[in-house]
Amino acid sequence: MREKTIMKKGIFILWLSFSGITAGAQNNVFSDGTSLSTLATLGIGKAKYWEQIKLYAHLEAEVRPASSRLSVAGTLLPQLNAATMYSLTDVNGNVHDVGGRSHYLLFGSYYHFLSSDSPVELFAGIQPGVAFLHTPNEVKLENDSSLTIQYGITAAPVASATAGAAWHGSYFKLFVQTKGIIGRSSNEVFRAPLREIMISFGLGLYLR
Amino acid sequence: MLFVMTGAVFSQAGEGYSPGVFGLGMRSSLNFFPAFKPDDESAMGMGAGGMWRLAFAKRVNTEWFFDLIHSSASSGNYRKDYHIGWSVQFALPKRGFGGNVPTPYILGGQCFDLTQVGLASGGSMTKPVFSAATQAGLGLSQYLTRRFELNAQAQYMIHLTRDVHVEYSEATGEYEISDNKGPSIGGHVLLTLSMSYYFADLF
Repeated sequence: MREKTIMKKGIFILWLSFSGITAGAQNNVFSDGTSLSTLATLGIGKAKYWEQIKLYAHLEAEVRPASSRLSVAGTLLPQLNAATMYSLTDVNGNVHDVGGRSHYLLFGSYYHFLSSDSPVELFAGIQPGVAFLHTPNEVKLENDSSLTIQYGITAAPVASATAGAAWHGSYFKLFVQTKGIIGRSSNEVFRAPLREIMISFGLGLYLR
Repeated sequence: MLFVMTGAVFSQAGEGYSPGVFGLGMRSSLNFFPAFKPDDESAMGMGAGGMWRLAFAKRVNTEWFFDLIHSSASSGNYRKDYHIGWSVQFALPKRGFGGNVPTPYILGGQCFDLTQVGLASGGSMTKPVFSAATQAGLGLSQYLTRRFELNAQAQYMIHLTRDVHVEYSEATGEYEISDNKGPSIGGHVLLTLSMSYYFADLF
């Protein structure tokens, strides 16, 4: 059931990407050479304190002024699966997974190593931001093997470093990028350093 | 939509740094809370936030910021700070801000602070404690393009009205929350790295 829900979300995101391309083909937004690219795809992440791989929707918008090596980029990374953080074993030997999510909102800048006229992009950048953590606050494993989990939602500061490559045509962009995220969460619900690395690739909308 | 609007004003923005230019940016910070008394404990923290910048003169820029900072000590005690404030930056070279070379400056300003602290031994964090603070320090500005500015700052912030923190009690042999009313030099060091994009000319 959970896999089906994730699959539906994935199909919806892919549909968003392609509908964006269709819309983009009918527009000529910037006459001064400024480029706007948006992407909506899936990404995977591996984080400290999470045993399981996390699945993200990777939503990003980037504006690069004409002839500039620098761009402004905003990224939203909602985690789609409640990835397992740790497991508990009850008296009967049954294993219960305890999951949690982290969603990221990042805003910063990318430096492009090649000129804006090149169809190939190599870029690296830094984006400070906020992590919204949905993690177990109180976990009770009863004698009858029932598991009760109370979740809490908190916000924590993070910073991210990104490196990637892309190739763009007239209206679309193929890309691959990796992000490293560091941060710290200090509150009653979840107190730990945040460390995560994620990778994503896909097709996005490109307008110039 | 925001990015489309931002892109649309690129061609309308002013020419580099000059009085009246307005920009938005993001910042990351490292925070160090030193121990001033033997019973105090030091803490390290990380912060993230946003800001806008408005230039008033060739040598005077201003920064209006918001930060969320999470910190913890080696004992596991922890604190959370929300900062909202402003600072004035005065360029040391007569040429002022801008150009292709780094510009050192001094800065000072005020800040409102909401602080919560918690003990590793358990229990809830304190309710947010409001205090007013003042900060001053040194900074370095570097324009990477005519509109894109990087800033590195080192500041010290002193709480003027109230200071809540964790300290060790010899009597009980446990950490306790201390809530001091009145000025305290027991503030904290902020090391900030920020980036700003100037996209409008307001006056």
